[in-house]
Amino acid sequence: MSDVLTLHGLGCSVEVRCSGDAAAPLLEALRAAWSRCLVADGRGEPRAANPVEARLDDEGDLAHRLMATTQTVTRALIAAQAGHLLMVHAGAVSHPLTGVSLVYVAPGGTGKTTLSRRLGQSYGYLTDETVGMDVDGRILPYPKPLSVRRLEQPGVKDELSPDALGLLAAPPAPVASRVVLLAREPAATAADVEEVPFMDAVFALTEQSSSLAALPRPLHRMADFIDAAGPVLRLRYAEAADLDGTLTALLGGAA
Amino acid sequence: MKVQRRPVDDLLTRDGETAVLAQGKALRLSAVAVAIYDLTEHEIEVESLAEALESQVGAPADRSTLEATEAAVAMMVRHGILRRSSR
Repeated sequence: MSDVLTLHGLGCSVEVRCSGDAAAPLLEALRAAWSRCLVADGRGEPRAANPVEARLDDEGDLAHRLMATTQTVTRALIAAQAGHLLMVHAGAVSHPLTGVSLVYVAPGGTGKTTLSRRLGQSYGYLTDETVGMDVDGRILPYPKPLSVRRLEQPGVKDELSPDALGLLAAPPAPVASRVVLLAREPAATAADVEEVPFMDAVFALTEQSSSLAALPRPLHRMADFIDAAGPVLRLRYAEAADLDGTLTALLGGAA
Repeated sequence: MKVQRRPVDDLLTRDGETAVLAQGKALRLSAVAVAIYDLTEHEIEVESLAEALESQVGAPADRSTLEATEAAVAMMVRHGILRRSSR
């Protein structure tokens, strides 16, 4: 069995090269967690990221190695698409019939994965980490494993396959149609929605972007995106369940 | 002391507001900063810049135009939008 796994995401392929005494269980776990990103032999994306090395000697370190590999793969894909895609730190889901897609932007640890897990039961899961879009607003899916924090070990995240979680697959042509900025406020008693002024939205999205400066005319590219998918909304909420009605409406109704 | 604007990643103006992306960071420019940016396509003495600014946007109420210009220039140098030259 080969110790190399080829994954795809963000319109790129990337080889993950497993090594070490526990390479076999690592490869098996990666194959399971990255089930939505597996590339069959010879079916790689036209653009290839630099290969990623993943070494595991002690199987007891598997969870940490999987977590680290997710981060490394994400960085490699982002680096490969720098200068090509507009990329923001966000989760996204897509209506399975229309391709209308909702992009929810937030820093790490503020609810993207929880929301992806919830919305992905009804809408196609695109990513819980980085949304990459071409000039036409077409989203290049990155259906990575969902990184779920362990309650008993907050420093460890389990990498859970979207298939194992029962999340729906992405439709063929997802287009970024609506954008929200997530603001998790545990004291909020109900979800609050407000429109974000254009230039404030530019700054908020720029702050959560990756490799923006590598694009030609990067602020104009961001402005074009906001013009197409805006107005950007800010959602203040306490629990993901508070957002169900609002987000369903933004996605053009129930799937 | 002369100053001149540096190449920036991008400059976006919309609805009377201007954002610049320089050294990978986005910054909102005030009307005075936008005027400085426009006036520094070529090297210019800070004193001449201050005079040009005063004629364009008026004098500040709380300090001299030169002091205000130097403060704005220092901020823009710090953010990589302008460079100083001693020539």
